Amino acid sequence: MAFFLFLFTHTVSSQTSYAWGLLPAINLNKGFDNKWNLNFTIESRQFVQKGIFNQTANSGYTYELTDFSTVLSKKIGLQSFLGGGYTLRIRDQKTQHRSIQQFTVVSKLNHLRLSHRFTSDQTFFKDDKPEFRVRYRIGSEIPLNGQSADVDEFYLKLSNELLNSWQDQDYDLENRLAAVLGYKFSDTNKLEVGLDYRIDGFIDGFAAHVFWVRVNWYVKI
Amino acid sequence: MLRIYTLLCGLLILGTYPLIGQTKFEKESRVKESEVPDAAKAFVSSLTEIKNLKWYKEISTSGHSIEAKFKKDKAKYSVEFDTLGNLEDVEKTVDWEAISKVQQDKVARRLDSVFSKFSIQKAQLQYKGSLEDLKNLIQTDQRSPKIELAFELIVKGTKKEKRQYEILFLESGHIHSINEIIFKIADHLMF
Repeated sequence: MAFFLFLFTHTVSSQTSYAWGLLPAINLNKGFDNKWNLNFTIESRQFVQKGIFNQTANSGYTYELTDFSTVLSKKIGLQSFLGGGYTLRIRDQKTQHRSIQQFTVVSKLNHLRLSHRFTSDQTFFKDDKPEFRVRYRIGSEIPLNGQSADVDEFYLKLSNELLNSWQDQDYDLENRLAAVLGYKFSDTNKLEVGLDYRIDGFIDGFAAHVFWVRVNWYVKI
Repeated sequence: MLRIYTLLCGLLILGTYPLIGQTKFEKESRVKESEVPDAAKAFVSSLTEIKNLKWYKEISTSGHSIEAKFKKDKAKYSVEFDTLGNLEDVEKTVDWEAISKVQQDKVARRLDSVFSKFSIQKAQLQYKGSLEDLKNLIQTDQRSPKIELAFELIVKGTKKEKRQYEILFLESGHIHSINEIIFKIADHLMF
């Protein structure tokens, strides 16, 4: 936490941009033969406010984009999954195409579940060079009642993700820190609400801070 | 059009309730001490120098039970009672390597006959006996011969494929029960 406070306080200057908005997502999962899982996610970004720190906000509500993603995963170990997928991003009436490869390991510790997710993706634009990213996310589910998050119980989900991206000659590093409160309606139906803080551009001194209010709905069908 | 669609999705997220229901095999949740049967409270309060006491209620297909979890002399104990507060068993988490070699070999031979490959993830000693004997056991870590001993192990084992099991071994080395552990859905940790 001290690291993020350091990052935040040392990257905020008179020219540092910020934004906050809403990040709702619907997440549908369908399992096949106990081995395969097909995930379909719709996620949209809607900015409520954008501006420069220490200045008057310069924009109100703006719709940003919608992602339609699908990932097919195969269980390759006790709790490890290898997957590949595709995202269609619609932004300003234009489309972007992204291919995704990901490997996830989930483990159960005494009072929590821990996940490590390694992802690489490649985004293709109609009028720009492709962007390549390598990501790592560590996440944990902490039950708020008992030793595991059961039906009709709340849990806390904390995660942090580092994203390295390369586009043409440019490199950037982004960090995403999220804390959400989840509720399990059933073993196949969960709702989460919380905050997601993202910072990028701090390597070259033009940090951009984005604060998202996340609402995630997970359904297994 | 997209904006309307996105807004609809947002409303769906905020306003929709469970559409799918499913029964659960086992559920463990914290309970306040005031909800614990008096007999169970009396047994635990008769123990000395215990730390981090927490009470749980467990609901499973075999019924309801109350569990006290605590630490004593750095060891983790779990004491299970029925809903009236009658003591059912005492479990102590141990390092499997600290168990006698003879016992380890008995269990390993049995696991060898069941799995092509295995590893023991967690081991608990399970004790059953009279109230007084079990109390002495916790207090002194000395087992009376009248106390029945079993080993509850979490085992990662491969038959056709790798799975995780909870296996209860009798002291003789025979398997009393074997249950596959079904992992909870982790979609929210993957995506």
